[in-house]
Amino acid sequence: MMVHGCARRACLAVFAMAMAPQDPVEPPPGIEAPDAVAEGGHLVVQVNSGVKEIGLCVPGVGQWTVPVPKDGRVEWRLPPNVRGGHRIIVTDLDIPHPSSKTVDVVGSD
Amino acid sequence: MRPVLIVPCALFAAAAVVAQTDVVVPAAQAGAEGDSARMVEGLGHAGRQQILVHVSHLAPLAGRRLTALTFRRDHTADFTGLGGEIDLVVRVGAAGRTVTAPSRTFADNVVGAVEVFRGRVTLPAASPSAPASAVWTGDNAVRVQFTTPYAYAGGDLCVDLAGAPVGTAPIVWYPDAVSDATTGIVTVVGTACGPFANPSGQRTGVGPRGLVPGETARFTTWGTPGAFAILGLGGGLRSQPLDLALVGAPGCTLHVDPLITLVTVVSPPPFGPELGGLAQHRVPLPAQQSMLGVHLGAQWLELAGAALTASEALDCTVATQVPGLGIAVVSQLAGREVDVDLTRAPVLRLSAQ
Repeated sequence: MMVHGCARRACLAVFAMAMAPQDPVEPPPGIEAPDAVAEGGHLVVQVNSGVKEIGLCVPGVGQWTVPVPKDGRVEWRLPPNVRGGHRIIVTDLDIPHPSSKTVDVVGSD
Repeated sequence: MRPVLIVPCALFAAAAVVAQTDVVVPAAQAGAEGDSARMVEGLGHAGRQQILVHVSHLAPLAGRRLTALTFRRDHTADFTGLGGEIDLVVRVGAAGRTVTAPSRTFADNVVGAVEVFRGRVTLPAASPSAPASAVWTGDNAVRVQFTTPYAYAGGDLCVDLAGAPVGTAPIVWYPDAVSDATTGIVTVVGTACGPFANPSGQRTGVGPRGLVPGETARFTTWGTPGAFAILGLGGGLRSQPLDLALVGAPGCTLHVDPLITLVTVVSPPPFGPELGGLAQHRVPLPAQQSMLGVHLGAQWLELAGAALTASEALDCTVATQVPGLGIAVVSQLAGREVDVDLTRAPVLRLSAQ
């Protein structure tokens, strides 16, 4: 049965929404992060690979490119609009296939 | 009767011939934890790493045969080590390039390489008791005993490791490392216009530690998937930013008069459509004295159909001095690009007879 063009595009759009945000396929090699961080706290990411910057992405809020210090320890203060229930995606920004790990933000109350 | 002293002398002489010498690179870390951790591609993650060592670290080894190398586990990071087995190949040879200007082509960095080891190595799991730092034994270290010793005649050295984990279970094992403070400087100027700017009005970035002659600066921006992304690089920023309303982009400002423009296409969104896609250019910085302190301006323009938007600008200054570690790391994870690191290197112990 042929699907009308508009209905087909709507189906594809719904499918795309169901697939996003992408769950990480593998964590970034050489990058370690906790599974969860408290609202308003500091996220500590240990970068032991050669990357000089990582990406920290919060769907619905925004994304940041954060430089990696010489000791590899990235400490990122969660912005006030990153609240419990949000997810932080830590990525090595390695185009075309960036690796990532998801960190859950838990409420502080 | 004359005392017989020949046999004891012979015994002492024989003992001196087989005496082992251990040299830690750098020497200051022999008994002290380094200030960093750095993966060795091939140890825990499939890949290859070359460690180029300046001759100044190796004086006690001149004229000797290298018989083993050892890495020490890092104890400063907040994670638990997971051990495992790896298949490893180690080659040693004279360095084909200097430690301040290694090549991104592995074959260029080593001359007269000798395969000193090929086989299976066990990376020990972390002990559940309190970790002991700067210890070269037990589960704190992994030692690779060479099956073929390497005759070290002096000069800069290249240690070349290639390996992969056995099986699919994750291995988390990071060697202790030292770092150098050499870095460039990056200052954000202006704000991005269009979608995918974060709450601070930014959507691009480059790590200052990549702004070192001989390394690679990685300029990245977020943008509209499928759009053309143009990185403009110039010798600094415009004294008078240009309002792009003139070309149909109100609210957007051009801060750079580009001497070089690099074009790419924004990737599909890897982490959800609301975060946009990624565009990136890796810019290798020549390992030349003339690059020290060079001033660069960088800004991305995005062309999505007829819509033009611009990122914030980055005011970049290349490092003003050459890294002083005397160690260079050239590495590649399987399936990824080659990376050069002149400011962070694993602590390494070389054994010789």
